[in-house]
Amino acid sequence: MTRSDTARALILLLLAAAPLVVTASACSSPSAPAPAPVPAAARPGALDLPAETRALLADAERALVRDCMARQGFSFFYDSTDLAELRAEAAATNRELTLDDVPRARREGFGPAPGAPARSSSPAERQEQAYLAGLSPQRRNAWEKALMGQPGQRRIKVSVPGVGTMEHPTAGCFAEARIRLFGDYERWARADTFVNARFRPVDEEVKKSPDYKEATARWSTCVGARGHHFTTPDNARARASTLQRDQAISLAVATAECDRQVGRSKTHRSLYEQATRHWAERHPTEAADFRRLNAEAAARLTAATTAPGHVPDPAMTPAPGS
Amino acid sequence: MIKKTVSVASVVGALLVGGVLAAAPAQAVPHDCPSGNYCVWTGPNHTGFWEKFSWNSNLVPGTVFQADNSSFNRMSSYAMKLHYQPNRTSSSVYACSRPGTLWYQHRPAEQLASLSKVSTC
Repeated sequence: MTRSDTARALILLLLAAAPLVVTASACSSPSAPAPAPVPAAARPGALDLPAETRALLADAERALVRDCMARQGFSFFYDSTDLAELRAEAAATNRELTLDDVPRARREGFGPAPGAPARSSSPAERQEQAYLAGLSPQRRNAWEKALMGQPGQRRIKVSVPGVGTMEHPTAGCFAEARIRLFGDYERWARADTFVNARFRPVDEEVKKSPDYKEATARWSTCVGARGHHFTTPDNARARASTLQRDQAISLAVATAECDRQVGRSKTHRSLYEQATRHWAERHPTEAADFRRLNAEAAARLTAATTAPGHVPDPAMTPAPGS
Repeated sequence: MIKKTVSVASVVGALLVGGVLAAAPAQAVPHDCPSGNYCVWTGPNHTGFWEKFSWNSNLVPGTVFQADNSSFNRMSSYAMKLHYQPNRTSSSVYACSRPGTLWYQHRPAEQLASLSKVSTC
């Protein structure tokens, strides 16, 4: 799929959803090749959506926001999702599950310096700042309210035990875009909030596990035999941050080799998958809604994009309830 | 030594990424947060002091770190992952805040310690 295909699909969605008047805007126009979507339904048990699906949904939401803002006479700027960057983010999220990756340890040591910013501001962010700087205070205020909704609006409140409470807007262009994309926005917002807050309880279950503790103890014994005395990989990583690069890489390689030798990360991955299943069993509604609503939205976008000469069916193409 | 390294990195990071401390009005509203930023308040319900962040950041001790936080994602097209440990360790993700989302987290839960800016949740 190309970016223009994606844009076409979104236009079809918009045309089918409502008789909208889209005004011209000075927004970013994506031109880079788009990722081929992988339907979330292809991995029915997964809570991690494929990067291609996440990119597709994120770009669709932004395009819908841009359209919503344009109808109100405003510009909205966004950078199309960089699939490589999204994959790198996912790899970073899973880094602690793959501490047995010896080639990576040899290349990167324990990873980027933790205090270093990952990147500078994006082109779209710079465009937005320049655009807003050119607006009068009244217009800027109106732009922000068009995007975020009015202060005092009703918000979708989702409380996650042990984590906190998220409140999502029900007015403004973010809300409108998510309604169009997912249909049952309130249900999606609850599911999305819960699923994206699962990491801490999953991690806590893993680290309480006797198998995890035993695997980490075996790892500690192994690295100790090589002259490195650490009780956990976190201790080793902290130590590495004080070393010269070649020494830090040498330490990372030793710890990764021991990890592979004693099966520590292999045990970690197995326990992580098990704890994720347990989490989904404790939150069956949210887990099922997350999979279903994202898969349906991705399928609608894919169908609208891949059907040559497809004329959108007003009853089918927009998200139900939008 | 380790603690010192982290602390220096935190301060430098905050300076580079624009973590700016501001005194909020007594009854601050989330919309005080400038567009393009992720704002964190020391008090619940967006009260007290607040800081704005536009990039990956450690929350520097002495400001919004270890406070009874509330926050608001006022970025247009980026999400922010919230971590309860510094340095954005991958296993310490609390939650992911999409654009336009408010977040409240109250004691006795562990505190918001660092932020990582991502393309999408």
